[in-house]
Amino acid sequence: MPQIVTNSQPIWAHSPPRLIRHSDSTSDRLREAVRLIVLDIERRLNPVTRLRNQLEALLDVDDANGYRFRPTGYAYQNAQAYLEGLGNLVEPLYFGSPSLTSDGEGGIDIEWEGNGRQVTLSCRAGNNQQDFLYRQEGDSYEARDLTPDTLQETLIWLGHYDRRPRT
Amino acid sequence: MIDARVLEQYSCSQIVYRAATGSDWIRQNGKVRKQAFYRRQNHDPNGLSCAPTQADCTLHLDRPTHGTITLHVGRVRDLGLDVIPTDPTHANIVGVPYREGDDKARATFLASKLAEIARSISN
Repeated sequence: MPQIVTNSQPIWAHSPPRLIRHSDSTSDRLREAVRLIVLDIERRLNPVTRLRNQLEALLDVDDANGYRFRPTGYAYQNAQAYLEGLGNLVEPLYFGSPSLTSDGEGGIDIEWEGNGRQVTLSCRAGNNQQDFLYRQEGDSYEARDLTPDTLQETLIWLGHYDRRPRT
Repeated sequence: MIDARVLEQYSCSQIVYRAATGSDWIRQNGKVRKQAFYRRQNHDPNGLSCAPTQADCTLHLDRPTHGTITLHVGRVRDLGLDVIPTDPTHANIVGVPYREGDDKARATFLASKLAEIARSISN
């Protein structure tokens, strides 16, 4: 865990003698403030958390002009599960920065782009539809069934990371 | 009665306009997302709606839009698709399948290519 330092020493190194109860309280509050700041930084840096927040934001989108922009519960839950799964499948900092977009039918697209390639994980609106992986480079494209293996292989193809999965 | 002359095929140099109904169909850098060209089962039975003028593309819409997407008809035809006028103020981009079954890859690809050739006008 990173330490926030002042004059090359951790700020808690400057705590006054423990006999002074009032200052103990001040020091505790300072420690708590630092802990919260570090947690906040970690949260902001964690792509899974950022994507979870983006996903929640989709629930606030209004439908319009005959399009269903707000995701169905089915699509939302699947997208959430995939994002959590991604965090376990690969190191979070290495799975790039996908964007989340409504498909206009109550589904959600999780999209990656890079190196002239694009990958879309389509989370469909209902259980009568099949979620799938789509990848494209130039005029070459294919859709694949979604499994942990195909997802990992596709992200490797995309070039966002080259590490093996966690064991 | 619709004047048949008005419904003649669009020339390849014609520009058509599509309302950006989705708030994120146009990215901050002005590029268009492929989701703007997904054909929806319950919404686009005859193709993707567009119009011959910017003003026409928002006719009959009940909610505000988030900009306008433009397409060059000739470039749409280069993709093997077509733009067919249905009345003097409306046309359909035809040939994009639904994202279902064996068509889902081609449907996504065509949506991506349409997004690639599209330009945007912000509101």
